[in-house]
Amino acid sequence: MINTMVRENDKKTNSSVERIPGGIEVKQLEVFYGGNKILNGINLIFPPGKVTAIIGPSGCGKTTLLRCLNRLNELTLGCKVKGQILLDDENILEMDPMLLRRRVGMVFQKPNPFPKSIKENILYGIKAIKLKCDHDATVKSCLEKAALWNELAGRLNDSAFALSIGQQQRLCIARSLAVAPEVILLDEPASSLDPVSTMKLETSILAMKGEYTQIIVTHNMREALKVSDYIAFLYSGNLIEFGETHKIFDNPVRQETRDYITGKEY
Amino acid sequence: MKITAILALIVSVLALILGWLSLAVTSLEAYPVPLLGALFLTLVVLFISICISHKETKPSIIIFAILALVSAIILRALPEYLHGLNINGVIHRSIISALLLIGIGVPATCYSLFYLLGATPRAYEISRYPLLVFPIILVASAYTIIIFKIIATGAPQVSWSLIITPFKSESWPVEVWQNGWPNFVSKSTLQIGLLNSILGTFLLMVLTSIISLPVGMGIGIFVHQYAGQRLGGVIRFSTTALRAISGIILAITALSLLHIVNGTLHRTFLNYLIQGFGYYPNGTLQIGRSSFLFASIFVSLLVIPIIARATEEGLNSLPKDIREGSLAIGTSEEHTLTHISLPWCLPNIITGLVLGCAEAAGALSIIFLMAGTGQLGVNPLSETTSLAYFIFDSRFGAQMGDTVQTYMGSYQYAAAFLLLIITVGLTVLAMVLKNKIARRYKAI
Amino acid sequence: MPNKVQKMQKTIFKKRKSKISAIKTITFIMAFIPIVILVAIIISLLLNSRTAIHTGGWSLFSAKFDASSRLYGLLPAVWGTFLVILVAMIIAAPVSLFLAILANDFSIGFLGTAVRWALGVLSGIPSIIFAAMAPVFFASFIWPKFAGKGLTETALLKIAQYSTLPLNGSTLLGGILLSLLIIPFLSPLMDDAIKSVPHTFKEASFSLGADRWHTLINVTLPSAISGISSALMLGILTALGESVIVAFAVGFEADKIPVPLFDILKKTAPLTSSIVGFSAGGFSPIQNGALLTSIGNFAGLILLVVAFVFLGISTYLQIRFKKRFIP
Repeated sequence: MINTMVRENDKKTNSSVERIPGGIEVKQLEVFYGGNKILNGINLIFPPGKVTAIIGPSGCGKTTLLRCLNRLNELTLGCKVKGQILLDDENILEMDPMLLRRRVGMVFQKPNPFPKSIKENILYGIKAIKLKCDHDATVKSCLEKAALWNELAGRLNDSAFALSIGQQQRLCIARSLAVAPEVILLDEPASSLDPVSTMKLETSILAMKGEYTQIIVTHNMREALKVSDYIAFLYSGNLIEFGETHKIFDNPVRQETRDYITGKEY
Repeated sequence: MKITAILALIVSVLALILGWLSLAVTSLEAYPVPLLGALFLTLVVLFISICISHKETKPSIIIFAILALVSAIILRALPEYLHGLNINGVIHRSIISALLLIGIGVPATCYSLFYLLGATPRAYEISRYPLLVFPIILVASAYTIIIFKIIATGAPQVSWSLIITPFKSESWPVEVWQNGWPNFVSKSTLQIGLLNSILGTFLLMVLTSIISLPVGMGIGIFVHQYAGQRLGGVIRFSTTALRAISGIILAITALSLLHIVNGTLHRTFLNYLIQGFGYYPNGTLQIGRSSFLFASIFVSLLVIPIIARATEEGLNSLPKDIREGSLAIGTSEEHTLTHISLPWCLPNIITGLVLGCAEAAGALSIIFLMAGTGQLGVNPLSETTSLAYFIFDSRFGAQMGDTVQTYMGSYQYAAAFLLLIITVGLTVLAMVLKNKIARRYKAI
Repeated sequence: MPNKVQKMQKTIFKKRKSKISAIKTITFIMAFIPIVILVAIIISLLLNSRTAIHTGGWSLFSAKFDASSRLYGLLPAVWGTFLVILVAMIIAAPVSLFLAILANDFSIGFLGTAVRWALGVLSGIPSIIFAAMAPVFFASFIWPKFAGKGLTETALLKIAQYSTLPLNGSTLLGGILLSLLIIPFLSPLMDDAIKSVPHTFKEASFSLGADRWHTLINVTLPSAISGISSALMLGILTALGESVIVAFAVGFEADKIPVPLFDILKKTAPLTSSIVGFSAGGFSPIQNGALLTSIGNFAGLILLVVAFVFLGISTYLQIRFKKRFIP
């Protein structure tokens, strides 16, 4: 990402640069909250440029795993992490968390735009790291990628709170794109949205394939089927199965996976 | 039946009004007894009509009727003044009659209201209102008296010249030649005005704000962001304790601190800064008890808790996921604090500051004990007066040996009026700001 | 990774580290100022009371304050505080509660908002204003009712066996004015306590057919009791520290405990105005400056202890109040 940042600096444009998304490799990850063991030795590879969906029943550790990837889990007291997480062969757990979070962005379950204008929301990250770039062009390209440009073109100075929930969520995506991350984490992004907004969201995710590595946690099997290339099934803190989406859906190897998927089909 | 209820209602309301007036005036002594008798009669009539129409006997009405009769008889028998038990006064009969009238009038009103409205459960609710409302009316009339008195007496006294002219009362010896020999005669000027009191009040507010704003915000930020559970609790407790300690304890502590300062730093620059100094018109140096600057440090101790709590509340009101969102982009905690959290709680802080200024304007104990005479003009480095002090001095000045008290006393209400405008104005401003803050939550 | 990038990372890292220290240290220092000052106040009070304890000894707790016989009893002052707060609370507590009830459950239309606004405006009035009204209240209320205005000397002798009544102040006056000061402070606190009772309790009571009054007495008030008690403690705390009103209305002398103990028509200065009397000079008949200030500090210590007791009770009640509604 720093590569692209430096290159963008030189070129002063933001849209036509070759983006090299990073892949994440999780090795023997164990996570404890206080005395409870949440994740049990997870070994997983998130392929670069693809969308991986993490599915599983409530409480199986999906969100914990996701939050480990940008080290937001450290905000919770009493969290201990063992193992390795590699982003492009660099151990995340030894990096500066802030630099990590500029390479690994996150979209949350409940949209959380800042109490500022739309334009300032998107430019927030850029101003924070004092990146020199064309502000207007950045705002336009980020909003285009999040499928918001047509709706918000003339309203960039309005308050972000004035948008509908669906628009707010896509604004959060646009905001995390502004710092040009390599990986984007999505924590049940459509759970607060109505079907129309969900559809627009899924379109954005599909459009971002190839440019970004996306890891999405979801409860919705239909959504996993639609957007993801790979699926990881977690159960009680263990990785049960991992593979390409259509292979898992048509022919799950493990019984637990089969039960979960067929249960959700109803 | 309605007629009897209306009758009972009218009589009991009259009883209440009479009771209320009797608290204020002593000349209505002829009326309570007949009124209580009338109350007795109407309550009996009400009882009978309820027996007839509702076919139920309500014993409480009869009990109150009998109480009315008994109190009428007792009042008849009481002398005009009561004394006994070695108390320090003579109690006028009107107090007793007022208490009896109110004590019986309120339940009577409730009952008659109940039956007037048809004895439904809804009527039961409404008929309980007099019980709540009457004590409030009593207290509200006390407030009204105060406010009206101040406005009525003070407002006419306030003229433009009064506000503009500073207060000067100085006397100094002047050398006068008489018959070839020098003689010292005391020359004095007296000028009544409120300018330096007003300026002093504003100066106090400014100084207090300068000191308490950073400290209060720092406390709020620290407790919200960096402190753990227990440390945060300890700091919160001690900050509230600062408010719980009355101004007078702070004042005597400040006094003893002054003595220490005077002893150790005698005649150094810091000493003058803390102790306050100023120059008389003819150039002599005068050292006061303490400087206004030093006193305002202690007044700001009263204001700091207000601002700290306002900051903390503002920070708490920001939804947690917005903070997380800022962190997820890759900014540091401090950046989130300065760019997101603080701008968000800025209205809260301003509201707290406004309330704090209102408090500072009213602070008296510290100013009185340390820095109040204001003979040397309005100056943070010397004693400066404030409106509050003016009011205090105009009442107690004589006891302290101040002969101009008689002059100042006539402007006491003008000063009170001005102080009232300043403090109430600031408080109303703070309330309007609070309303505006509450509205922004509707967007979330 | 190219070297240029690594260098950039390091500078960002360093800049961030120094920024963290700056804000954290500054706020850390600020946050400890209240604690430091509290400790300093306690130490100062203790140190300054040494003279008083040496000279006075146990007589500090005696019931008479008479310098000529070397009795420096502070008990009358404590009793004065108790009396004045008692009177103030008897008036203020029910009225504040009624106001809070009126603003919440029994409000009709805009009544609740109007009450809250009025209370907000009144809360801004500083205590000197109430204190300045002491003579007015005295002349119009206390004097005619309790001190025999308009009576000639002979008439007074007949009734009361003394010919002149001490005028210009009494504990009753101080209590009334103090209650006027406290009500706008107490009422919003009780308002918060009643507001925090969850909707679901009241709705359950209504759905069973109870009317508002019954719900109030049997559901709302019992649930809000901790909050209301905590508010009362805070009100007492504010009344404890109030020196200006009592100085104007009751005076500065606390010589002896009034003989009928609850005689609120006498003037028994509470601790706060006694301290003013000791420290300001010219307000007390005793002339020994150093001893006086020391006694004043000791009285301040007593006041501090009492205040902390009430603060502790109030904090404890508040914690219990909050715990009640966590499922």
